[in-house]
Amino acid sequence: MHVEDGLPNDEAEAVQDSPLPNDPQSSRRHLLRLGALGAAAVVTIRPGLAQAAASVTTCTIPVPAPGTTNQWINRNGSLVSPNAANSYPPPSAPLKGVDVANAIKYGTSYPGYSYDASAAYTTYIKQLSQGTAGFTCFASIQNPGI
Amino acid sequence: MTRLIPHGPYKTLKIDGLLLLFHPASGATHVLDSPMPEILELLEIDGCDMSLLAHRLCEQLGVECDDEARSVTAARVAELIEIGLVRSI
Repeated sequence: MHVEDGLPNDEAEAVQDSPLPNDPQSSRRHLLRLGALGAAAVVTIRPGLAQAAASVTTCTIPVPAPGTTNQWINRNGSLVSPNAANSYPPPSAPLKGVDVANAIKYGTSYPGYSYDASAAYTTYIKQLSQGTAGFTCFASIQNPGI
Repeated sequence: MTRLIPHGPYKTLKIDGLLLLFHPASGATHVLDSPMPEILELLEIDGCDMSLLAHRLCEQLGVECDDEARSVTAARVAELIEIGLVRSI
């Protein structure tokens, strides 16, 4: 893989010249990796935008992300303790991608929730980061082609 | 003290020394080379802080845990956090 090719020659040679405990091939690879920050150790493959766009109508965004139990969402989209000022209990079910798209585009409310609560949920969703549950759905909603 | 934990669940497959990892939370698939799989494996067993993780990783890989090893571990963990596979709590 290209990771091997990215190593500077002198570094690779230095490793080969070093005596290694038991000198198994795997240990050499590990030592190479641990000592070589210049080489990539991660290659990420993301779902195609077209594929993501097609799933907007069916994808959902949990608010808040699973694992964050017993927290409300405030006006700034932050998670806060229940009953904190200007905060709203989370929706009972994940929000539908199509509803989120409409809320972002037209400022509409989510079915069954007040305007203020909906605005708080949308603000929370806009702050989702990569790796968070629902991020791919949110990212696909951002696609201007939708 | 900041504790590092994996941000699973993942679906994984080992291929030719590399780890192919599907992360449902982000919808992304990652191809991980050493020492990333080892780091995730250690955190799966027991979440810990950066210093202890570096120590355990060096022990597992059979290398001396010097300043360089610690800085490489920190940099690799930062990459794992950036792509959402590890959380710092």
